[in-house]
Amino acid sequence: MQQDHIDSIKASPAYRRLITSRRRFSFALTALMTLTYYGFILVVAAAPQVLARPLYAGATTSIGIVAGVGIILVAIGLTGWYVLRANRTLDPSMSALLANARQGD
Amino acid sequence: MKLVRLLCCAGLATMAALAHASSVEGPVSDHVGLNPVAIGMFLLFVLVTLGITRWASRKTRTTKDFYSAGGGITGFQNGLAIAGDYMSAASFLGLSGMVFMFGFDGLIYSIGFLVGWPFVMFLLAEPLRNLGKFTFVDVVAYRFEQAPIRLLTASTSLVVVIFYLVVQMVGAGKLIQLLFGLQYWMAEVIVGVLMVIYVFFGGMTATTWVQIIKAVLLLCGATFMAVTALAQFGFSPDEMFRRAVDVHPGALSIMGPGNC
Repeated sequence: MQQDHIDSIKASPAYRRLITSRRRFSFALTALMTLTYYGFILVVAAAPQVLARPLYAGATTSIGIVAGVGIILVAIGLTGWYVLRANRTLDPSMSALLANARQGD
Repeated sequence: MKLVRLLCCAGLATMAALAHASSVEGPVSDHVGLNPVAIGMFLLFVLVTLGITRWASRKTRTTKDFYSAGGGITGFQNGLAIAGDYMSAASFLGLSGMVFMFGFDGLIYSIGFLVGWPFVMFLLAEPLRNLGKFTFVDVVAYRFEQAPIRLLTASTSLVVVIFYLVVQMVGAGKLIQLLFGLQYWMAEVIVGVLMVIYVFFGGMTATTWVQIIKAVLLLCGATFMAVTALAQFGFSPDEMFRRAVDVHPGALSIMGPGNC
């Protein structure tokens, strides 16, 4: 692709909107994951007895086990969200933009 | 060049593992009873994977074939292969051992293990794909001056790989030692030679397919084991934890972090 094509795509508002929303999306997911994980680690460090508490009276399963499995599920869920959004929205709109730019020859 | 590096690193790791053997050899159980089913499955796996390596080595003609399987690996296949890489001796033997010994603390470790991946996905995967590069090093070298970056990243990858390989080889060596009742150093040599054959002759195609088979086997095997283990306790995790607390010397402390 020619340099002026690249420049025209870069200048187009649709491209800028797409880039911004993509970046905001991945940073938001990163922030969510960071909060979940470091939140958990901070509880482990500062208040371990909270995690050792049984889930309900008479249970052996502790709150910590459920929290741990929950974080694993959150990690899987966030990854799935990213993959869905990338495949359904981000990638198709990017290729549509590129195809438009090529047609405008 | 890269091949030589790969070989050197495999050789180094073998040496390191051998040098370390005296301390990890550990107590060999009295009855080194041969387990014919396990040995049969192991030999079958080795035969099948060597067959794949032979098939792949015939297909591999160019450098691109060798390093990236000629671009003929789909996203799903590659995902399975990476999963196979990830479910290594460290996660399969190490993590279950850690949970067995320390309970909840092992779970904390395994969470840290897993949480690294979404970050790679959110922040690195797409720029890497858009640039059409294979490795993070390629991207960094593309942006900055080549030589120093290559030197730095090559050294860091070698250091990481050596430590990682030592752990893997100790795990695999211990398994073969147990299965065949072989001496530890012989087990290590067998594992090392097999590893080098896979990579040297098969390149990326063979390693990817071997990893895919490994991932599928491990996923099925681990799921089967989890279901049968839970079946022992009437599919009640709480009942399983209760019995574990009963028999573990740490008693209830295994259900929480540390020894609280």
